[in-house]
Amino acid sequence: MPPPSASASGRKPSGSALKARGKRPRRTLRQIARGVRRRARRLAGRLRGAYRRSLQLRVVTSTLVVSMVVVAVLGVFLFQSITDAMIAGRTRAATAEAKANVSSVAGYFTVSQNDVPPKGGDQDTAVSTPVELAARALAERAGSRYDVIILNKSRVGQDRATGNIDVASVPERLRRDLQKSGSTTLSWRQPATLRYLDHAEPNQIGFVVGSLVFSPDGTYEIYHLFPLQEEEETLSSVLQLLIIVGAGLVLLLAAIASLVTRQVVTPVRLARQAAERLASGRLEERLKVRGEDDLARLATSFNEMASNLALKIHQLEELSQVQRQFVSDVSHELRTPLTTVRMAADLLYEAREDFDPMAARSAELMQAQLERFESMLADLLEISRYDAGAATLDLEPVDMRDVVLRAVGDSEALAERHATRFELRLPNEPCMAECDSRRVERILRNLLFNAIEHGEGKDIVVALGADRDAVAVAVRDHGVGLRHGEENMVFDRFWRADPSRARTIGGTGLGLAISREDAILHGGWLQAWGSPGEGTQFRLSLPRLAGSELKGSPLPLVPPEVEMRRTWRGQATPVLSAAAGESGVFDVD
Amino acid sequence: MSTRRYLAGLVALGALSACTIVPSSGNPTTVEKEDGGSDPLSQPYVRVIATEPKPDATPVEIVQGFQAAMAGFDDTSRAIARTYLTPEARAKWNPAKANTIICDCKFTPAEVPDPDAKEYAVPITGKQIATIDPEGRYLASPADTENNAWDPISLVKLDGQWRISAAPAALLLRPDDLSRAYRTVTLYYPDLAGQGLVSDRVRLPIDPVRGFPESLIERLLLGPSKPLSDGVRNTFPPGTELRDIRVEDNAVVMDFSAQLGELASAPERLRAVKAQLAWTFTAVAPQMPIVVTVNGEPFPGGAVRFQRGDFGEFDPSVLAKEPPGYYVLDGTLVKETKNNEPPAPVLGAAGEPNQAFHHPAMAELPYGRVAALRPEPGIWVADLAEGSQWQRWISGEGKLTPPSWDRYGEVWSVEKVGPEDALGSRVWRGVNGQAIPVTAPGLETANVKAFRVARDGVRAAVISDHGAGEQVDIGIIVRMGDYRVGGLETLIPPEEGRTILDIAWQDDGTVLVLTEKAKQQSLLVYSISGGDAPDTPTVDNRINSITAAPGTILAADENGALRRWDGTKWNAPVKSGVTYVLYPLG
Repeated sequence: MPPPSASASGRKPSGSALKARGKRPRRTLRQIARGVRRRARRLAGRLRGAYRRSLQLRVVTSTLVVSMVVVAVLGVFLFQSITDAMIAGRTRAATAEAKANVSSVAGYFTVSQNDVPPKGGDQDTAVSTPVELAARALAERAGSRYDVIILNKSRVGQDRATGNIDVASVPERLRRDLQKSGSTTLSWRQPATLRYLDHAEPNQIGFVVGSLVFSPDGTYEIYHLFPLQEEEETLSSVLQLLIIVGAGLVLLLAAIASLVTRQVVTPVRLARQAAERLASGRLEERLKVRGEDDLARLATSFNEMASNLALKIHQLEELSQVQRQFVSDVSHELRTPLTTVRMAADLLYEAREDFDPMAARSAELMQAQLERFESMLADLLEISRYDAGAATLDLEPVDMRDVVLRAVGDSEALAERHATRFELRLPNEPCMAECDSRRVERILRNLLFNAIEHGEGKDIVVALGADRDAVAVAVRDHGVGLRHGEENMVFDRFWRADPSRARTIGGTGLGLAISREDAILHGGWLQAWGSPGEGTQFRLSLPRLAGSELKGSPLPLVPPEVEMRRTWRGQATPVLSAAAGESGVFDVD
Repeated sequence: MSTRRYLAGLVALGALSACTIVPSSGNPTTVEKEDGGSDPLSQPYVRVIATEPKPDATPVEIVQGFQAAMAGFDDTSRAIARTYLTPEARAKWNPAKANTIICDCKFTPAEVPDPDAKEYAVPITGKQIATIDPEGRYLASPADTENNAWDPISLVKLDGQWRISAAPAALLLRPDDLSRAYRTVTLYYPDLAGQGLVSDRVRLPIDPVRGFPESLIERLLLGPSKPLSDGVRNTFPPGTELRDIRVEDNAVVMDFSAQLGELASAPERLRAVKAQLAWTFTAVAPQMPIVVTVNGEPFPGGAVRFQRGDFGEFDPSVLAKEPPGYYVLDGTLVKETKNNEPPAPVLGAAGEPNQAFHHPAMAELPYGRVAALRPEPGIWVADLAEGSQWQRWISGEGKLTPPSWDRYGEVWSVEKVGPEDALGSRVWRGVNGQAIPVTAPGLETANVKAFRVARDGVRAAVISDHGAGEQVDIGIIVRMGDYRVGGLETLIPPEEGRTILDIAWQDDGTVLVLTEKAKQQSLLVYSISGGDAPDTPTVDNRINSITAAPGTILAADENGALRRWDGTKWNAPVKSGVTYVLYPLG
């Protein structure tokens, strides 16, 4: 399991996108957007991949999401209740204070300002009118905690305010409702924005409590304006604290989840790696068993499984070895009597003209079947050499054109018999390649015989292509072709496309299998393509230098005209897997 | 088993919830008057909300609204008050330049205006109480201006609405408005020598936009008010402005413009500035230290942080509260003692018996000296030291007023010059035995009965007679060149049949005046800046001599008893033999 480094690798694309933007400023905006989108898609794909692969990442992610939801819900609930409690408490206390203030200054308003005896004198403290006395009393009580505004709609010059509060802070609706109510027992309250004269202080959030007081001079409206700035600040710091604590909690939970899953995931990861190594053939791979928990038991079972598997594989290998040895031995043992039989048969065959026609025909039949038997035996011996790993290459640089021409020359006779013509497409320059020309010729011969056999007399195209690293020969017939899925089966030993069909050329059923073994021995590919009614194409691709790895082929596997036709139809050709590692025989017949 | 566990859990939960979060016990702590994070610089005040004229208002309502708008200090340009005026009157009206008038005015028209009338006049009745000049000085109007001839306020009808076409040139405030819209503040400026501070009490209009502390310091920067400005100086460099004032870390931070930074090279001036700020800001926050910054940076050459307590020697009252007094007991100058101990005669000539002196004055600083009148003409001075002798400092030919010391060790007296029946005086000051005449333009043509230099050394209270009777003037001593006594202003105007017996400074802003009218003595306490008159003690016996110090008054009555005013009644610590009382200076 790769470590969850998705975030680290995820930053890279955007960074390089920026760099690219800087380097090439002439790109249009749309191109940039497309680039960014592409990178984002790639990043998302990578993240998705990491998410799918990493159990730890999945657990941590789900823990994060769940804990975030829980913390958010709890935080909102907690904050809401703190806010409610705080604001409600403050509002209640302030309203009570406002009411107490109003009832305590109501006494001043029982006399009209006209009835106040003029004090005169030059004293600073000469305060006479009721509203003046009330305003002073309220200002003294209010201090700098809140402000009071006294308004009188019916009398001129009776409006008072404490501090530098702006009268516009009293909401119009509150005034209207208060005036309409006309009751001294009811107070009205409304949240408002408190403004100050000339913006000497910033606006504050607060609320206004309004009450009425009757007086001989008309009705006085007394408004208490309480700022809630302190509560606002406290609450915002509480909110900040909640957010910080919540974020910390979520991260802590994620870390805990990461730690816990690590304890589970690490042994599982080790088991996976061991299984991978086992799968790749290292049968001696075992897990360390620690403790007695579930994971230890998993390791024990794994180890048991691995040793059983190794045992079974070893037994099977031995069995296979025995079988191969048996085939090889049988082939060898058959050769000596076969030679004798052959010599006797040759004698009979040469003297057949002296026999009666029945015996002559028998001699001919025997001769033919003996030849077939011989070649089959040779093929069997050849393939058992491959199985034993005894096949070696006799490498030399050759011009592939000559190899192709020789193989075609060998097949001319058979082609004539089937009224088939070859169409050669060879390059003008020499196509030098390091290979065992005998084996390559045998492969090509096999392919050509095969094509003649299945070509139904139509033309066979033999193309040779080359590039810097590789050469390729494609043999194309226009016969019945292959059904889907048969492209790999043709290389199986003794495979026959249609078991009911007779072998006309007298192939052994091992030709294509041996050809594929030869191609693999060269480090090359032998691949088949076929489509019902469109014929078959075999392609042999070889590296120019023996031992170098083949990365591609100079010729297409699917014939170009077929590919073009399909493209027009808007279909994509399924990519055929490069046949390698497996041996098989296409029943050529 | 599980039930038991549940029960245990429930019990634990209950125990937890029984604990309260708010503490229910603790130690008692003191609580400030206004506890809890409020701005210590802000003090409550009330202001009038000026409103624009209501539609279809009667002329009286217009005038009342106009008066209320004049009293509203929300904006200094009086924009709302102007809406009561006709456009022509609006263009002419500029109350900022005129002295504000405080009057006990009423706007009561004789009859209701005719509905079709286009013009109308509302008469103003009432008496003018005082004026306040643009510098903020309160000038009480003479008491006999009972029936001022006020111009009525004329109104015209414009588009069906009454508007004022001829308004009083000045702001017209009622006593209510004065006490609401102005605050009496004491500014402090150093004397010309830079040794002490002199108080300057002015009325500061409350500016709700700027706030009181800011207004106060800005007013301080403007400089002293008129007559005092010759005798003191403003140590702030010209052009200094207050940029910001705020509370930080329980200290008042005043941020000034760059000009104040010049004082970094003049430590003496800087010290005076600090003293000015500390003493002036006492009106706002007496306990808080002050930090001065320049352009938001710490003061160049080291942070400046100080408190009023650091500048005690600048006290304009000089004397501490309720200091021990002195009195002449059986011809000997003695110091008042506590707990009925026998009085201790002072050192030197004045403390010895049979020295034949009267009306002594005493200085404790910078030298302990006594000055007095003796049978021989002149002002005689004796050191407060063992074996000292009387020395004549001022040898006037005419009659000299009792001597008075100032805080710089100079003794002052005024000599009657010219013929006996003509008015004329000359002011003398004695410095280390030398008598130097001082020009005093206002006193050259007057008889002077007493000349008392205030303890701040700048103001002088004078009982003078310009021909209309005895009056009390306050003058300013300008200590430049060969000194000058100027800026004389009448504190108590002359009154028919009234004589002024004695004056004494109580503190830097209060003068005690003993008057007699028709054999009836009365003791008056006057604030030299006018306005408020503290409670005046009544006298039960005839008094020969008075003196005062911050918080206390001493008198010698006709029976020779020493009387002390304790704020509510007169005590008599010494029953007989006292002929004269005095405190140092004043």
